[in-house]
Amino acid sequence: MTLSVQIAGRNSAMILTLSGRVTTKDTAELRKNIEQLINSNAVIKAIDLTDIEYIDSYALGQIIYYCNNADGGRGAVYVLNRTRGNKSYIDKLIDISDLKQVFSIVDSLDGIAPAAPPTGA
Amino acid sequence: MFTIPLISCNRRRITDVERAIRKGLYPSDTVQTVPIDTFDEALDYLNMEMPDLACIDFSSDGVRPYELLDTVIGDPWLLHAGIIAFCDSRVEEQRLDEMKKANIIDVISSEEIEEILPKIMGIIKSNRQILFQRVIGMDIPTNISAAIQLENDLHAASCYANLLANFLYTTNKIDRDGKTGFAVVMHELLTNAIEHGNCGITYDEKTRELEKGGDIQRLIRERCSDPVIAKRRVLFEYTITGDSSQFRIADQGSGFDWRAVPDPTSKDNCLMSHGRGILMARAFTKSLSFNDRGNMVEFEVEHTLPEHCIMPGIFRDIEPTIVAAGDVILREGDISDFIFYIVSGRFEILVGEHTVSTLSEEDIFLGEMSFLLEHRRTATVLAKTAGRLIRVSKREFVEAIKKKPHYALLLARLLAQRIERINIAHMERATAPVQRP
Repeated sequence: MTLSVQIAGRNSAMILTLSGRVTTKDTAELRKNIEQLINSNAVIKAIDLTDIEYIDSYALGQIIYYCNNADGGRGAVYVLNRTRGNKSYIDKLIDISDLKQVFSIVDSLDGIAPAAPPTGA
Repeated sequence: MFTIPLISCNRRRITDVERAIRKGLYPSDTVQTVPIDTFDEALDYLNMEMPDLACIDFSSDGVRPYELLDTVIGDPWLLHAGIIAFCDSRVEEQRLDEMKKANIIDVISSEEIEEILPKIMGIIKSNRQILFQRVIGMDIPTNISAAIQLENDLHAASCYANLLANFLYTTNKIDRDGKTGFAVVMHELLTNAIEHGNCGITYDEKTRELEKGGDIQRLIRERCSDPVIAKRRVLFEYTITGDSSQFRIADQGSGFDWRAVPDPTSKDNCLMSHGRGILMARAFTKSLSFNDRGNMVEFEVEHTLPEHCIMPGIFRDIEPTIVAAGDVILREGDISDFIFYIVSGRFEILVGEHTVSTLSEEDIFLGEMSFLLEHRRTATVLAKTAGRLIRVSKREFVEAIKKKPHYALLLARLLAQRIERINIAHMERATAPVQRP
């Protein structure tokens, strides 16, 4: 797995970008970075799953749990999927796990108003 | 003889890897390791020997490991080697993780070589027929089956998942998305068998461990300090046929109630910290089922001919011809100035009215003897099923070999293997007891 956290865009968005194979062995690092994202002062917070080759259920569970249980986390994190609608692995994963219940899934952060955070679950 | 190139400038790394490889095999296993410490030599070895397995040290800049990897990625049909990668840093490990196209079986850090590599060699040894499929293609039976026992080790489970996913992908049985889905399924179900099955970690125990920020691998190690649990194995079996592959994973625990796993997509459970593995496995397989006791799961993966097959790099620009069942592909007596590369399908070889053989994509070429000897066709070839063929003229073939001479070596090897097979069949006939009427 490769992790990168960037501050990007005109809306001071903070994006945690994941790529490669995200599995059980990555969870400690994943957790640390999610906490950094959630505790940041960025107006828009997102996790970008576009470049993931695959993610196992354990690592996915960690993302869902930490983004929605940490203070200030619930409903405040977007999931970015730039391949939305391409029937990619990540598209399929979002469908079968019904991640839309838990996150707002977007294909771009452009046009997202800082004053209107996603509602999530 | 099983030959493995060890590509590294680091002598100590080579010694450690050689020792760990031998530790994972029996003394009677005939394995030869070939240390290679320069880029040119390594490239030459990959091109000329076309190994099925290669160990590459990605911390050894002198052998330019990423350029070697690009070569393998550039023509995966020819150089379909499974790669065991070694690295010293997390950054290199992450970089390799991003190489989605590479057939990396496992990435091992320097500290893990002694513990992990012997286990991987044990797995590879038990599954040699899938690693060596390309070269001995014509000699393998239509169905490939194997059974293996795995220790309670998530790393070994992950290596196994990658090895099989690579095989199904490089033999065009699944496409790239199918490879990803299959790797996920194997990873999930082998992990379940280890943690819930053999180690008896309950759903609630796992939840507590995760919610306190714990580590499931630590919990597995803790459980395995009990010798009774440590002795338990995951039993894994598979059969790969023409149309699909069937898998069975069984553990030696007391079983778990798979019916009681909460639905992770329901409103009440959608924030659960785990419990989506079975859901993911069902989505990427066909007919996944557990036994009543809950310690065995079976599933099937249907083979679908990928839209973009892995095919020889030299033929990639030639559009395949689509044939229908019953089509005459070659006719006995015709002039032969081309060869067919078999992308898919089954083809019956008829001499007069007698069927002498049936060829498929595992046989790689159709019509190579007449093509090389400039004879008229000595047999008629009929398509038994729908399929795809790439017609390569003599000129195209020669031009291709000028660019990549090692393809000529491959063709020579294929012919040598066919002759060897015919010789063995003659010997068997000659030594068989004569049956009297």
